Amino acid sequence: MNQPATPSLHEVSQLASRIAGEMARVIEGKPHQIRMAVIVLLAEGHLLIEDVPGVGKTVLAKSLGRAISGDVKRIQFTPDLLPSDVTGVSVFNQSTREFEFKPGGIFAHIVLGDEINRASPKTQSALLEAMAESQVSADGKTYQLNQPFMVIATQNPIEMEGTYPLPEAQRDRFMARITMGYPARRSEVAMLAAQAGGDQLGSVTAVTDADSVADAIKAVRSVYVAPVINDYIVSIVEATREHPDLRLGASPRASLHLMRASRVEAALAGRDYVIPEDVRALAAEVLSHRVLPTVEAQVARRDPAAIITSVLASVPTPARG
Amino acid sequence: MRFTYHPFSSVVVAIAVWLGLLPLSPLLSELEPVLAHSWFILGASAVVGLGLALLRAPRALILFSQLLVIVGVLAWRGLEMAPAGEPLESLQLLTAEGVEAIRSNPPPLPMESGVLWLTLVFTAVLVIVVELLVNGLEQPAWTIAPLALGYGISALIITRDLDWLLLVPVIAGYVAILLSVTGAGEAAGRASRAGSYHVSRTLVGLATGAAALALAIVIATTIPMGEKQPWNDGGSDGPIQLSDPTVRLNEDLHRPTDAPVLTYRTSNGEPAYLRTVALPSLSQSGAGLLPMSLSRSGMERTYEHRDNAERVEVEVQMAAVPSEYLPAPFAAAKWDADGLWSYDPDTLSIVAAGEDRIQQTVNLHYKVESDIPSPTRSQIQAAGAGGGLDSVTREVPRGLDPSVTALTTQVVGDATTAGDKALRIQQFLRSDAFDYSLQAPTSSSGSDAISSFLLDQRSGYCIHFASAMIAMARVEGIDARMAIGFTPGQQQDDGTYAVTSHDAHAWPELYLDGLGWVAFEPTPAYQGNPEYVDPSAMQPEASPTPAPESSPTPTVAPTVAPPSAEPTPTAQPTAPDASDGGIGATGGWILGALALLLLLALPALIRIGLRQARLRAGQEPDRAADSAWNEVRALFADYRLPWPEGSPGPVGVAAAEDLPPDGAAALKEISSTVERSRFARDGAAPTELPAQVNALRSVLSGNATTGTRLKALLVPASLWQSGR
Repeated sequence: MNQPATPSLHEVSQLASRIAGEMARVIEGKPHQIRMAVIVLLAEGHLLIEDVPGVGKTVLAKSLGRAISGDVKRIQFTPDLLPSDVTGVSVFNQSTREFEFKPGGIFAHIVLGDEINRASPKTQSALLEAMAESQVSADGKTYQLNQPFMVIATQNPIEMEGTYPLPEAQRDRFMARITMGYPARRSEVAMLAAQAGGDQLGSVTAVTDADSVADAIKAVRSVYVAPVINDYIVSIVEATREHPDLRLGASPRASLHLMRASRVEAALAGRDYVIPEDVRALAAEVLSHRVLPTVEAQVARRDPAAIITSVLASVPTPARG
Repeated sequence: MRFTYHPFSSVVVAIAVWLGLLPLSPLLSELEPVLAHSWFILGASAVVGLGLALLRAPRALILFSQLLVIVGVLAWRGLEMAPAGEPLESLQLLTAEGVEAIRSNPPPLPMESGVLWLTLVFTAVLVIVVELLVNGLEQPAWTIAPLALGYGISALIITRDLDWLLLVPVIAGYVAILLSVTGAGEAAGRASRAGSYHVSRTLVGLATGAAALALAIVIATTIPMGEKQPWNDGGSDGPIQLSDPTVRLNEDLHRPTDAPVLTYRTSNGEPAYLRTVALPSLSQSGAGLLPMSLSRSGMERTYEHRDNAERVEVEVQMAAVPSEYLPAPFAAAKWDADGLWSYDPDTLSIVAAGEDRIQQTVNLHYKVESDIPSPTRSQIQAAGAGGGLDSVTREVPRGLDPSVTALTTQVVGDATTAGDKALRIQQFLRSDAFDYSLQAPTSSSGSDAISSFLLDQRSGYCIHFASAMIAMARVEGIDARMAIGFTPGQQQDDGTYAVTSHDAHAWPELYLDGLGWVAFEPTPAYQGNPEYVDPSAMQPEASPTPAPESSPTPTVAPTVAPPSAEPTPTAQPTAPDASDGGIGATGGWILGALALLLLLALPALIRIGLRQARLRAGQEPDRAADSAWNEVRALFADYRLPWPEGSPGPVGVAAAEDLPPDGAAALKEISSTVERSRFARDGAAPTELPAQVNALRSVLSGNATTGTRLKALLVPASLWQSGR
């Protein structure tokens, strides 16, 4: 289905809420996580979900893929997973006598990298490179990935056994990190009731298609970010670098991701420009997985999200550039 | 090098100047009026300074406005206090009065309006100078000089040790100013506090101030007292020691040889009683002086009953007779004599104030101008008792025999007016019942001299007769005092009059309504003093024959002015005049009320001006949007509405929740426009903003209670908040 042109921001906003509404049918009581997933999708980013097993990480990814009727591929990351399993491999075709590229798991709209921290670092980096470049190089040939393309990687908390925690440099490539958290009691009860009927994911219907999402992404790119807002974003990111509780601040890529995410936030509000509130709304999700608290802050149980909140309070809201 | 400009510095300056006035307390009999009145000036300066500073007005404008307001308030206070008249003349006169009071009074000065006015002028100058130093020249360290001026003046004038505690408020005010501008604590973080330079600057400032202070104190202790305040001389504190004139009188009268005292010539050729001093107090032991508060000038104005009088100039040549009083006819108006003289405003006695007081009259040649009163007998008969004097001239001597009261009642008979009573008492004392005798016992026997003279002895000389008349007059409730001086003496061939020691005399002066102090002559041996009291008694002095009772026939003396004497040229130039007075006083009131109204309306006016400025057309679009947003924020502050934090869009949405629909719509439109102008690609056209803001204002106003509305108008809270 070909959209005539770039949709208006109002249409983008409606599209987003349709996707979110469809996802909410299978994921009880997690509107914030759903919204973040949609935002990251529209912001051309990748999402890192970090939580204990069994809280619905996979369901979130799958329902999103189904809602946009995109290809969803799931790569279960295990210690013996090879990079070629992710990106694809060239196989010699006997009949054509040529090497033929067999795409890996990454060739999809939504790629669910399950328990990414179980794979070896080498495999992890293959995935992350593809994430960053939106393309795969194999045997001297470059293969473009799908549009839209979004990796939803889940990661068990690093304390759990048999994991290779993602290094900071690689966490940095994810636009946002969310945690699912245990569902509220009522939501969990509702989930049990819903699951009784069989495969719940199957009930998720497509509310749009990948092309529409790609158009929406284009529309989001047109959202205006005033210089004063860019300045604000950089101020926030710089403040994390100077914060006494952080031994590692956010990277310039973090600024870029925060800007993109803020654009979606503005678009979802129907605005074609970003205001400081958009930036603030997403700063914690976008920045907190990139910073490293000092040992003292960890001992004092100041978690990164709280530190980011204090950073926001310390940076003056821009009025006029 | 930066100087922290603190908007509250004007307030601090006002307080500091006020504190600087406290050391004036030893100079003034009361400091409270000064401290209270100075707040008009200081308050105006502080309010204007603070208000304009909060509005970020240019400093020069602030200083100029303060100057204007201070001068205005000063003029207002001055016209309030001044006698009515042309405003400028009134103030001149007030100033002259103040200068006179300062020149002629030893400290502490009486708190007259002139003195108060001068202290207010002093305050105004101080606050202007300090403001200029602090906010104009940014040299707060120098403010110690003006601030310590009050202390310096006190230290210069007061010879006794000045209380060091008086310096404490000065220093406190000074330090407050320094702290307010160089900063202390948090606020100083913005200033040039960092670095050693700042420290050295503060130290230099403090050192300069301390040096100025030390200099003031050193000067105060080393400068010798000039002749300006002679009563401070010779280390003698307190007033001049006046000797008892009655002793001198007795000596003169009982002196076996008659020694010449003086010769005089009057401008009209008539003889005159020369009075040296008046004794207001009368007790059983005799008449006595009261402490005088001497003045140097303004004598003519201190005594108001000069209308019914003839101005006579008397030229006197004293013999080698020491006296601390200058003999002069009553009521003296001015004198021209070598040496330092002062006068007592109550009795119009002219007192030597120079170095060698007693010798001051020896061989002195001087001129005196006096307004010799000349009421007719009928005027006296018609006059009631005057009032408003110190009660000491009405006190009946303690222990006076009750029979004296009875005798007085009998003598007065059916007389109704004070003047008539006085004439009857005089007539009684001059009657045959009394003998004039220098041999009569002086009042040494003491306690009941007056009673025994009136009831038993009925023999005595001038002091006895005068005392008796004073006592009887006081019994009748008439103010009376004893005048000491000389009878006119003998006319010489050259037209002068020669007065000898035997001419020494005492006579009563009674205070009558409308006439002032009127001399009577109860001593039978003397002709009337003046003639109008007893016109028929024109016999030479020292005749023991009692004079016949006074006759109503007019005297032959051509000098007596008719009661409707032409207006004397000595009247005060600014005598209260009904028509003039109205203008001056009312003008002062109106000016004052206007100034007060202006002060009260100042916040409202400033607020309205700000609104006009913010909403004015022709601003840059961005600026227009920002200032419109500031105005919205200020409106919320004025109407005491909560203001959410954040950027315009979300704030508008949040704040609109509590508003009625039309206000909410206006606010949302405003906030959306402002938001777009700030963050959107194409900005926004702010042309609708002023109308929308005004619409919002009317909604807020309509939604508010009356009290809130009034507060929003008169004390707009937004003026006190830092609009960011």
